[in-house]
Amino acid sequence: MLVRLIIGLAMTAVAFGLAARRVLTLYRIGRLGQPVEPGRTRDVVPRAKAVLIEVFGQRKLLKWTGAGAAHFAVFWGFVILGATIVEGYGALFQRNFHIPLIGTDTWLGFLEDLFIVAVLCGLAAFAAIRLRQSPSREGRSSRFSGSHLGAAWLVLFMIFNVMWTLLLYRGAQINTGYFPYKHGAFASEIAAKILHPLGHTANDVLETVGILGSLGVVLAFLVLVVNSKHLHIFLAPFNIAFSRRPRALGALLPIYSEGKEVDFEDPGEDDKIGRGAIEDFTWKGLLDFATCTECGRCQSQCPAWNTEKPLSPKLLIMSLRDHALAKAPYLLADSDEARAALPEAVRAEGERPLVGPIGEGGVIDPDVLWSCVTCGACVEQCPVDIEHVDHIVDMRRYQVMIESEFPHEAQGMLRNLERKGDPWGRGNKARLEWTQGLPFEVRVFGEGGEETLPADVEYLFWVGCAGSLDDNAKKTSRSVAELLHEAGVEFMILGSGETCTGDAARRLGQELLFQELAKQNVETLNEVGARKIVVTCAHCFNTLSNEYPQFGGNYEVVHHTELLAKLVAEGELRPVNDLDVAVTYHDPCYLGRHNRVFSPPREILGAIPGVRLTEMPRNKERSFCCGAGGARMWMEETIGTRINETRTDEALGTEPDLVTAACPYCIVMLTDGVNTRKQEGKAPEDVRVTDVSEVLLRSIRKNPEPPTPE
Amino acid sequence: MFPPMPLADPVLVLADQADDDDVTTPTQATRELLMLARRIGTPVLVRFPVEQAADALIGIAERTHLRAILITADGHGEMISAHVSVRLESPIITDVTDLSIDHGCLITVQESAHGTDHITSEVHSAPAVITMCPRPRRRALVLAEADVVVAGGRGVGSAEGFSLLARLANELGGCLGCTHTAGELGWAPRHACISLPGAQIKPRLYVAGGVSGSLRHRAAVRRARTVVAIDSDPNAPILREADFGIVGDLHQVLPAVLDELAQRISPNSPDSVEA
Repeated sequence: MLVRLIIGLAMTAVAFGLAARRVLTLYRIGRLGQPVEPGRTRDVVPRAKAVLIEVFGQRKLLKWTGAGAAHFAVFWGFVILGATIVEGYGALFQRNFHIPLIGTDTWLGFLEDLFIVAVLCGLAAFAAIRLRQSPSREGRSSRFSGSHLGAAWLVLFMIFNVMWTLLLYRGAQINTGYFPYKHGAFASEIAAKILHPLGHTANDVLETVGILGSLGVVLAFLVLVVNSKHLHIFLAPFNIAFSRRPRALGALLPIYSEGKEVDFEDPGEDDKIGRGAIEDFTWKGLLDFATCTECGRCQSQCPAWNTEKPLSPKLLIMSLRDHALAKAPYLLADSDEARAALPEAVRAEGERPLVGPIGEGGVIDPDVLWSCVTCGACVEQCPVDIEHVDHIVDMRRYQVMIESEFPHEAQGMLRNLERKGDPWGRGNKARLEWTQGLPFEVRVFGEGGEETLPADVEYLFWVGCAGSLDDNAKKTSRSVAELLHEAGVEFMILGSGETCTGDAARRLGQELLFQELAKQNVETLNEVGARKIVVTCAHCFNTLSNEYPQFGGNYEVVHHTELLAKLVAEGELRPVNDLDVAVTYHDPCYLGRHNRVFSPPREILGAIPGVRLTEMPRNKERSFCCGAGGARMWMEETIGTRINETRTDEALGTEPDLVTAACPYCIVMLTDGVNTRKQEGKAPEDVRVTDVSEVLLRSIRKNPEPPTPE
Repeated sequence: MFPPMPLADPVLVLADQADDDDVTTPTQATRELLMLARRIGTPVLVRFPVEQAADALIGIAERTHLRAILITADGHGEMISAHVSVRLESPIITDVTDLSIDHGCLITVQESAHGTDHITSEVHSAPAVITMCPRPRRRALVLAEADVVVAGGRGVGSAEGFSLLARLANELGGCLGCTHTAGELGWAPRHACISLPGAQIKPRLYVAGGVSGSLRHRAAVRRARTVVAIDSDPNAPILREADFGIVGDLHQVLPAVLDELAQRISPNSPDSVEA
């Protein structure tokens, strides 16, 4: 007994020593990061609730049923089987130890054994998933492609070892008579039956060996965890607690430096603009990197990765983590001498640019950085709430505003925004052209000499640049205007008073330009006294509703699909014409994932007689981007296959007559895709891409005209 | 572009004289200077008429401890910089392509022999007067620089149709371009796409054949001086944009244009042929 106690305590001391040293290093690395923006530590109650739901409820994990259930079993196994560790340590001191009060209850014995079995089942499921989706079989399309496979198998093996050693000593304990539970521990009883024929002495030995083995495996696992990607066991609850709530989508944060928002009218001398080096990330950023478990759910959804581009959100986070760890000694060295004394490799790591061609030592290749469409599919999936999009945009901000290094073709869009206020450089006089040919007069603010919106105007219709200038989007603007007119909703437009909301500039990383545009628009909107705004562009919608509050612009912003769905539901609009068309609907990222507007467009389509809606395989939360977000609309797509064509093929797979969407960017991209496929003979000639509102209008018009040929 | 702020190592950037009347947005050249200035200190953009620039810069330099004065290396710039450097008795480095700071010391890079040789200098006194010609952009953008551009779109109908346009471009000594769609269809090389994003052109003459004129195409040809458009659809937006619009089939119009050009370039009159 004494020997077993001494060995047990010695093992514990060694393991805790090793783990503590590592934890201290990790803590010091975390402290290298900048302070976080103020909101992160506020709202304790919703944050605690989030931890309960995401950690203990495993909400996001369970979105993938099989893998989620397996993880649920293993996670709860770890929680419940904490009791067996207490029992194991107790048995070192006192052979017939049991947990006080509840330690001999049947239910606890049963629960422990139930979870031993559940964890074993979970492990089998994990192993099956890893074998079936192995990168050696599936290559790039495997979500584990690029992950540390050896470490993952080692972790599974270690958990397996914890389980069988548990069963070994519990079975032996039953045979030697020191087991705390008379009933309930069904799996341990089976183990006991198998071990019984070995005799009493053997079971005596096995009990001791089993307890020491079990504790030894747990301790070794502890050391492994703090040294591997499995760190998420300890970090995920913190990462979720400090994450952006409800999710890191929708608005982008303004630029923060040292926890304070950078004021571009009077920037501080030492203000850090974006992230130019690993130590520019906040501690929450570093926590994100350390928490990544390399599960690859993000990678499986990423439109860039799925079209053979070098960006995978998982690999990006892993690269940043590995770089942070490798550069840490360089950053932690407290003097130039100490730095000079570091090994060559560490000094070289310290010199690596954060963003630069891989061949020139860069951590993140520019091709990786600029492939992102900011669609948020990664953030949506990440079970530990890593904020990929924020990190990417922060790195872009440094590249654009400090280094002036970005795809040069985007320069045209920026120049047009600066000089003309729209991405195409048409100028604000062109903003009224779309109203021509409407059977009624569109009321333009200021034309009647008014200084604020008249009381009878319910909505300000924010038409947007595309809605005013792009030929397809102009049709959408006209449809929406006609429908609102039909429903008797009074609305007004700003006409030449509108400017781009700045979404593309912000997502490219040109925050200064975005803020100029935003402040200008907020000033205009506040001056005219806008309260309720309706928009057709998903990007304007996101910016107006989520980002303008950062500049003092608080409005009730609705997307046209929301408003039209409401009007249809209230009977103000009655779709009557039977259209007899097969339709599919593409969720725009900035309407769906970023703003959770999933059902209104579907409600509209569902209300139209003769519309047969077929969903694409990837829809709603898992919708696949059209390829235009994140200012990608303004960059050339030269790597891999086209995102828009990939999505178009998915849409065409539903054999539609109409491919519908609810964002002008998506419509441009899908129209391009459909045209290309038509030319290749892979799409029927009569397939059309159109906004949901146009379909509704066709069903409402008194005398439906045949669709005008394009 | 940069609002007033407490200045550490101020670097004056003289706004490019080519700045158009639009004083709120600096030109590309000025912005590049500002970006380089940012690397070595705090950029301060100043704007003066050519005649007063030298005196004004000297005035500022005498009152303020400047790290450097950056001036675009063009005709006026050379003159102003020479003036300033002599009057301030400060070093002058001309035709600099790159700037950096190393341990507090200003480093300049000049290029010679078409960029094959680099001269790196350390500058130990301030203010340094520097004339800048930032590194020339990659020359792949010939299309963007061409004086004459002939482009085709979906209306051309085929890759073969593009040969007509290519002949016209050749006759006019210009570049061949295409719309985004035609590029996607493989009728013309991708790098020939005139679109936003894509090549932005500013030719003196732009001939568009079978181009309907999508928004992104019109955005990319906004700076073309004279636009001639041939399209069979009278409602094509490009025709509203064009200085000369021809409604017709380009397969008939273009051969006629080519014939006419051939006649005018080499008329049959014998006295124009050199013996």
